[in-house]
Amino acid sequence: MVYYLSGLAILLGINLIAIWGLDLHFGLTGINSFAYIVFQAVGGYAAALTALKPPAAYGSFETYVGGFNLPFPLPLVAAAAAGALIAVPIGLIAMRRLRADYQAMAMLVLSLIATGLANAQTKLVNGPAGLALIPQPFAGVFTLSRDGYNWIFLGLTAVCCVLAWWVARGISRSPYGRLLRAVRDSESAVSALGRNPNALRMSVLITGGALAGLSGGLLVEYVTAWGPSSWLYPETFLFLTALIVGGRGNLAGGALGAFLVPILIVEATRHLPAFGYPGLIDSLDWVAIGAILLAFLWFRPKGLLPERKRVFRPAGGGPGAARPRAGLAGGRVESP
Amino acid sequence: MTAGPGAAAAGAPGTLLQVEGLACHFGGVRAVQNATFTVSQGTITGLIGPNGAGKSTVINLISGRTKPDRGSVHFDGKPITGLRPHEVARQGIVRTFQQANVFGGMTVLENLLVGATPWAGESLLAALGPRRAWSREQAGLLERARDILARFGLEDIADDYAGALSGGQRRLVELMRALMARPKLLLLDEPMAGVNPALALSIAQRLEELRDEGMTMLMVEHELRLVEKLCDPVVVMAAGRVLAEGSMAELQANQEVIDAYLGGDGGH
Amino acid sequence: MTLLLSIGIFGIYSAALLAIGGVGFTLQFGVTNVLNLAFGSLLTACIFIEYGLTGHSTNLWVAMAVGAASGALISLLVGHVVVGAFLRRGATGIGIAMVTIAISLIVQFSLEAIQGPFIFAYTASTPSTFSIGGVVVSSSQLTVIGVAVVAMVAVHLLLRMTKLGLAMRATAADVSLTRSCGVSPARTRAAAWLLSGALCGVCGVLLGIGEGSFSSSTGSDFFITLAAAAVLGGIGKPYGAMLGALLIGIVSQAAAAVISPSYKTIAAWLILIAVLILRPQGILAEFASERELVA
Repeated sequence: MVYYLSGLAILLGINLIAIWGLDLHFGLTGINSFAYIVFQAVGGYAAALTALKPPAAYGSFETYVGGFNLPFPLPLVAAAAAGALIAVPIGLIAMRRLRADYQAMAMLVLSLIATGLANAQTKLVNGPAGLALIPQPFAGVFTLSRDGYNWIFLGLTAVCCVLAWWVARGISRSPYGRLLRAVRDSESAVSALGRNPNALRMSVLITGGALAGLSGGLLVEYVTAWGPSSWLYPETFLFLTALIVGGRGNLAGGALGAFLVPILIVEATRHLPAFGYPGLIDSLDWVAIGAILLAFLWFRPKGLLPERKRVFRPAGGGPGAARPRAGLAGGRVESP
Repeated sequence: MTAGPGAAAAGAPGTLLQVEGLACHFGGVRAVQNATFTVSQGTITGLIGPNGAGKSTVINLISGRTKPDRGSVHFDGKPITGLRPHEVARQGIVRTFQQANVFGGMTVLENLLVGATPWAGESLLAALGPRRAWSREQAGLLERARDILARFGLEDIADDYAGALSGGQRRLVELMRALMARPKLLLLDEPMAGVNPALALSIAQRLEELRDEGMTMLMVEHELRLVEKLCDPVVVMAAGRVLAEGSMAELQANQEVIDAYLGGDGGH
Repeated sequence: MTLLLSIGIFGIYSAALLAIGGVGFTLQFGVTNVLNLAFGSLLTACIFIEYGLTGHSTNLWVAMAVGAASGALISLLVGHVVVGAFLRRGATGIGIAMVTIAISLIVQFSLEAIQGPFIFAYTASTPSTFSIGGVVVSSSQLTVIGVAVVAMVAVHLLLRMTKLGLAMRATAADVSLTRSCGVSPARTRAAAWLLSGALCGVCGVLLGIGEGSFSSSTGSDFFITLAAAAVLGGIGKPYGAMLGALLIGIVSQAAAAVISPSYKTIAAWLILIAVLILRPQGILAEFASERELVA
């Protein structure tokens, strides 16, 4: 039981990082990042290829590039870097000044192409079979039971979560974050005020990508396997639904969504009495996700914890700090 | 003005903006042909003409939103033809839009903060660093923003979402935001359109005050009474060409201008 | 010579499949201004329905008829009822895109739930084969090409010669023009959903039969190439989709023949990426800001 809960906590932490990253793209800046899972996938592969030994060491039952067998924390660093780097081609192809839904389709198609590539090019990352036996951080350093190791990993995940929280929060409260929200509202006005919207969007695509990559690296090191079937295009919408449900443009909303959607819904259904064939429940989970997304888009598109209005303390009260205050329905809280 | 390279091309001293032979087309239609005029320092120069004359297009050409096929634009002696909009803005030219272009999802104060000239604290690196590095400068900007709001008498909408304001108020927000950058040249694209007469008059007063403080403006406007009150000189365009440039009195005596715009069935 | 002929014939066969689906996808966008990202899953749904009704060995014509009918119905339900509800509420582009994604998830994974761990083999009644200049072609492949040609001609006639077609073209250019064509905008949009759905259904069953098997992801896999054809020709333009389909069909077949079979899909991907980078509005669009696709 404890093992189960600690594992759940690890997954929650990984999803938190991923969802906060997507919030930077989609919630804050209004980028229709429908290829988001690719950032996580690339991070996962980078961590795997960095941590694994060369194929020959395992008897060559898998073929892949890399295999540098580097120790912690290098695979995770590589994961974040990979997520950041893949943002450049993705951004150059699909983040033009395309109209919103067209851009979304372009991103979606890139996600499909990435899956196709990973499946087709078996020499790259072992094709559809995927990579397995990925070494875990600190493996062999401590002699621990399965339960014990989970706690170590949970600690590692928690540290990464704090890092992600610090990055996302810093951006959200900063003048840079304000520029991102401006780009979301009106790119032409941002240009007219001397800032380059394309550069702004690319920079946040990279930053969010780094977070996604980090989450991918952690996930891969936890489950020790990674293949194209782990990161199909719908996974992006798992995160997106979490944001729509929880609320965009704020960390609390992302956290709530991370808890409700990937953890509660997916994990809760795991405990239903098994019916049908194995895998049926997985398929139905996705149907549920689609239905929930549709429902929230209809009834509550802003989510359970919508973005709040930012109010400044009036002049005379020290250095003006921007703090998000509660935007109650219709009214607003006067700053003291 | 400053005698930099190209000062000779910039024309008479006191010329801030020199537009020469600008032309562009859209899908086979020539929107602007051979537009030539100047804007002098410290004036509110009007840009008038019938619908479809190419006035907004000229603003787009100057601000970099549209690339010209031919011609040149010089600002403060420097060529700025073909620069991208954010690069033009960085030269000190800020424009407003025909449809009030505010950041609807942010408060009025936040809108004004974005209006300030690009500063070091708004980079990604600064966002990841300590708050102290930028909070002081932001406090300064906030103070300036509140001053501008007070000057316009709009302190009480400081924390309202810009998207929830009326059309006239949004225009004011866009104008105040433009002022945050202390621009050398303000390009106003029909700032009074759809604004009620009382508000239009008060905006006009603000613009006069700004001019008296030394700000230069190029203003596209349809309401001729306002143009008469505010603008000198005035540039008249019709069918993509510049017809004449001069004071309203001179233009009202110009037959070509009367035929195209002012007289008989002309007007707005 | 045989190589060229082979590329030509199979290229045209691929183009035929792409054209039917591509024209459906792009026509519906052109008229309703809705980018239907659920199109791939609808394609799959039509295959499932047809298979469910007639079993694994079916008559080609029956399959197409069933496919067209089910496609038209589902499309109307999705487009006019669900998406329409959101549109009437004032939802914008990205909101609608997410709605179609949600629908896509629901449809695709419901099909996956139904499919279970099985793989379905899907064939038309055993086709006879011909030899054309040394290249072996099956009669069903030739039929597909023929069907595509007929469908393209039919679409062309509809657009050019009927009041409804005129209304569709008017709506694609400017919604306010529709009423002056004597057909209500609502009816024009409904017709577009129906027509695109029918084409989607036909494309789906032909795709399934052509591959010999299908699964719940058949449609979304095919969607990349379909989107490539539509985007290449100019999204929203039916003739563009026909052109795009032809180009991609032949180029990808040539790549497969000359380089390696796996390059058939890679070629389509590269073309799509190139179009998005160089000219996202497509070949037939007149200028960049048409339809406000590109700012």
